[in-house]
Amino acid sequence: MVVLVDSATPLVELKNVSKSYKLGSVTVEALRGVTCTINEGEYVAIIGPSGSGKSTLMHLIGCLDSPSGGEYNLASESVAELDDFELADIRNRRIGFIFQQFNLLAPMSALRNVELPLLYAGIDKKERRDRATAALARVGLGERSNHKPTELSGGQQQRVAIARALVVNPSLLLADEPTGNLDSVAAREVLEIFDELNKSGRTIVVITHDDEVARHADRIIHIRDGKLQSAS
Amino acid sequence: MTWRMTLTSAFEAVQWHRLRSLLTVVGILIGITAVMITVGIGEGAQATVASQIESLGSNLLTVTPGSSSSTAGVRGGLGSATTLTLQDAAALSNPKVAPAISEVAPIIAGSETLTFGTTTWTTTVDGSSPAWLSVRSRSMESGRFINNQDVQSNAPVIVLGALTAQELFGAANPIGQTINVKSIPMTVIGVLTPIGSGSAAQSNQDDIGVIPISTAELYFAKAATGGNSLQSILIKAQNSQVLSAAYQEINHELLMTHQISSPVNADFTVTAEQSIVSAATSVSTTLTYLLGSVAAISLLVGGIGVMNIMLVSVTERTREIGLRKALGATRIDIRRQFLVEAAILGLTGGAIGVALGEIGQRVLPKVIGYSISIPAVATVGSLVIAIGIGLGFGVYPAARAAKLSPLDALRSE
Repeated sequence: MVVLVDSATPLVELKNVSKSYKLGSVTVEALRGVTCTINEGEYVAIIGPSGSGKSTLMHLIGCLDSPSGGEYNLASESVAELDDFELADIRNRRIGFIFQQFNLLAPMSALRNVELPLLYAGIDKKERRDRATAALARVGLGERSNHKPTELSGGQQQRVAIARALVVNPSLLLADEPTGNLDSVAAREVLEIFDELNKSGRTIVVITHDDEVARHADRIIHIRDGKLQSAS
Repeated sequence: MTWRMTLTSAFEAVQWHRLRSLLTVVGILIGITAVMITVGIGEGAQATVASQIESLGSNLLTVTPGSSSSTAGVRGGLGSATTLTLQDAAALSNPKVAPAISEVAPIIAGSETLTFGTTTWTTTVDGSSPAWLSVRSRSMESGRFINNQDVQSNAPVIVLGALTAQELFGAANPIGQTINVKSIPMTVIGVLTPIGSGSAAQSNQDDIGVIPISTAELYFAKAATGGNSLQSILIKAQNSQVLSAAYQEINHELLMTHQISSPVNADFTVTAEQSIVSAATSVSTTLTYLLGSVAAISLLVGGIGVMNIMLVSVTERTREIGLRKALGATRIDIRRQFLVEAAILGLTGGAIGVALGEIGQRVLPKVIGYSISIPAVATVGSLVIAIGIGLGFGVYPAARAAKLSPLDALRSE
């Protein structure tokens, strides 16, 4: 799972991206001309207060939503022009999501949860099982693959979610407040896994309002009122 | 996502929401069972009615005096007029005039009191010809029926129905005994084979006396009607194919002999047993439709139940749908997942419903006393309808699920 690091290769390119929502009769400008580049192998934290547009930015980067204006290239592919099916494919193959709420399916075992993205990739049962088992082992949960989410602690659940994100071997790991629901011990464990993954070459973008989380990243992007404050 | 994976995860989802799935299935199975049982009852009733009417005599046409379609002048009601005569009956017996007719039995009927010793019994006494036996599709249990000689000689003889014979004689042999019919002594020459126990219509046919028509004319008819007029003429067609030909021959011949130019003014009415069969059949068809529509409504309610459950399911599983989309599920994957779930619910309900229907078909007749026959097409149709309901009412919830943006879905709490 080693990805060659070439800091000159841009993975995420946002050019003057804007996003506005209609809330009833009011138009909310969530993003106002965001331009930034995240290279392959980078570990970036996007930090900002609530309502700053950081979640909107994450959804755009994760191809869960499309921009109202501007350009977005993911691995040199223009995402703004893709249809629903192509976006689903991009999400499936290129992006691994990690959510604050874990979003595991309660009736399924950890293993089945991790297999889920492979199901949509059309991978056969044997390979699904092998890859999911490997991914769980990677986050240190090889012993607990048959446990249901309710039988696991919060930290363990989030590690299952990380395994699920990793199992498709995505270009980009996208985490939205990954430690928001965890105690400090579990949070540290999760951040340590992120550090390891980044060391082995994985590109990681973490959205947070927590400086402690952001400190792990190579680079911090501040966002406020839908605009980037600094791209140091 | 392949179909097999979709099926597997749909089955899982149905299992995860056991109670909800169970309730949906119950809704559908009630509808399906109701449809099957009602169709079965309707079909069973039709068969029963048809066989009962069949037993009255096949290929039978009845000519009665009077007209039900009279438009001009004053006429007697059906059966009360005195326009049918033995000459009419004789004319219809002529194979040159009416080739489609095989036998003709004129009837002078009356309700008479029969006395044997101290026992009296009031019943219908038909004065008729030897043709009566075959026209009514009856047979003799013992003794003989009226013959032509009896008719020619105005013989005081009588043939009794099985029930009548039993009422008058009990277990004793009635043949050769003399009974009084309206104070006229008559010899019992035979007993008819009973049609069978069961419905009232059938036992009535076993409570009857038959005497030669000439005897009836001599002793009863004159007093009753003042002429040699008949209550009715029973006519048997050669076979059921020529029934309508026979019908036309009767009309044509009687209009001619009665010198009536317009069929509208006919002073007689011809009715076919077949038309009673079809009337009775149409009654039970109507019954089937009525019951069927009630059952269909319950199916519809079951279907709306599926839709309701699926909509609740979509709302409840918004996060799951969002997550699946984030992990790479396309709109088609999501729609298919919900449709397959709905179809599974429908099929399960349908299968159990059909099974219950089949059990009902075997058990219910013993309880309610009516025969139930569920045609195979209803069984197969019910299953198809059940899946159709699952799919049909699953389309809208599935489309709603598919349309959810992953974003909205993940945001929902």
